[in-house]
Amino acid sequence: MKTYSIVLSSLILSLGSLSHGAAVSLAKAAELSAHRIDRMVALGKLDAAFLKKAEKIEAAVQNQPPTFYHVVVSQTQPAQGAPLQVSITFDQDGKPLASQNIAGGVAGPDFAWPGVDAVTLLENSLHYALDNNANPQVAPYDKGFTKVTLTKGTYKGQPVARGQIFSSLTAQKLNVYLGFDGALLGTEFVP
Amino acid sequence: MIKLQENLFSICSLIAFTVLLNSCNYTFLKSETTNSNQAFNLPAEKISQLSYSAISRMVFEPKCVGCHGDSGNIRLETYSEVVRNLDLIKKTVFVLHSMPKKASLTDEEMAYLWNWINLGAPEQAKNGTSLPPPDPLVPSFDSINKHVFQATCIHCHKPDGTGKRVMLDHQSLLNSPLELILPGNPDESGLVVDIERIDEKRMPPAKDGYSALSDQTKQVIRQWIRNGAKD
Repeated sequence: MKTYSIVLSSLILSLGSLSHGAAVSLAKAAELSAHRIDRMVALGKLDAAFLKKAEKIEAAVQNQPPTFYHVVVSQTQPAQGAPLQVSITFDQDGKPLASQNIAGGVAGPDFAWPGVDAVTLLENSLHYALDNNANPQVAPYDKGFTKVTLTKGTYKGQPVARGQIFSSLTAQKLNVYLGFDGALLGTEFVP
Repeated sequence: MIKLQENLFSICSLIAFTVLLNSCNYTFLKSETTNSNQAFNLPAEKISQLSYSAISRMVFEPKCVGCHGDSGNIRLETYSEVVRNLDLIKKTVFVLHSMPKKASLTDEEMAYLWNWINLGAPEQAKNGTSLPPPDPLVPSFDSINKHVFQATCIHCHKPDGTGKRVMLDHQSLLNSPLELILPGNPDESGLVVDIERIDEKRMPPAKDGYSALSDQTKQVIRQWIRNGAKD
């Protein structure tokens, strides 16, 4: 019965991705947005603080050609008001189409990540979902990805970075624990 | 008195052991030298054309300077630096086979390097006519692929490597959603951004022991993209 359920859910997920008609998944679009943010900073089109203060990446299918994916990257939540955010759109092949700062954002606190920057940590969290999307338990976080958040946490008693990935296909969340150097330490599924 | 005898015995044993080790090493080196002389035989005409610039273009620049440049390792970018480290080069390449770490030398490259070192590592060719230069780096994909990607990047950027998300074949570069190549626009092409940046995300990565690409190499890559990034 368990095997049947896994096969069935894999089939549904595969069909879901085919019906999108997209060459890249939602999680991939989110990962590409992390690269995009890094590129914009490198080209001087975005303040470098975005790399340090990024806290969340949300992605959704928009499907208004040529736009296919709409991704919002947010900085840390300020005490009051909305965080600073960048909106990025991609076509179905994952090519970036446009990006813009969302008006009205307020700077939030700096978590002062001691190793690699926050955008790299978010990106590396997503790599786990992308690299393991053949695993039926992980696949929903690739195909049905909705957002990934970054917080400080502990893993086996050590302070770590925790990327938490949400999916529209399951109520469970996928925690990805990373060292501050960005290296994968472990994962767990949580209610 | 007994203590003194014990100490004397220890010192003598140590000396004997060291002599034994050195003689083993000498025998090993001698045997390697004899074997290599046979394996790396070159025509006399070629040997007389060996010069530092020829060996540098053939071996040091494509196979060594990627790590032995500004990365903090031993530098092999100039004649004096190479000569200073000649014994180490000979030992690591031909005896220990531990270098190059991230590339391999062809039989031909090994032969030229071996004979050049055996000649006394001359800066100028003996007969004044240096070996013709190997094909230089030019702004074409094939040339950049051969001199840069295959020499330096491919060790990670392969399907089972740590850089597997970024493949460096021509089509992958042109089609990557990471916009690695924007034909006509080197300034915003990801490839150029990544090789020219000076932070910890620079490619090839300093944390893995790689030096930055030379300014000349960066300019050739820029020129290729400016020209449209065709073959």
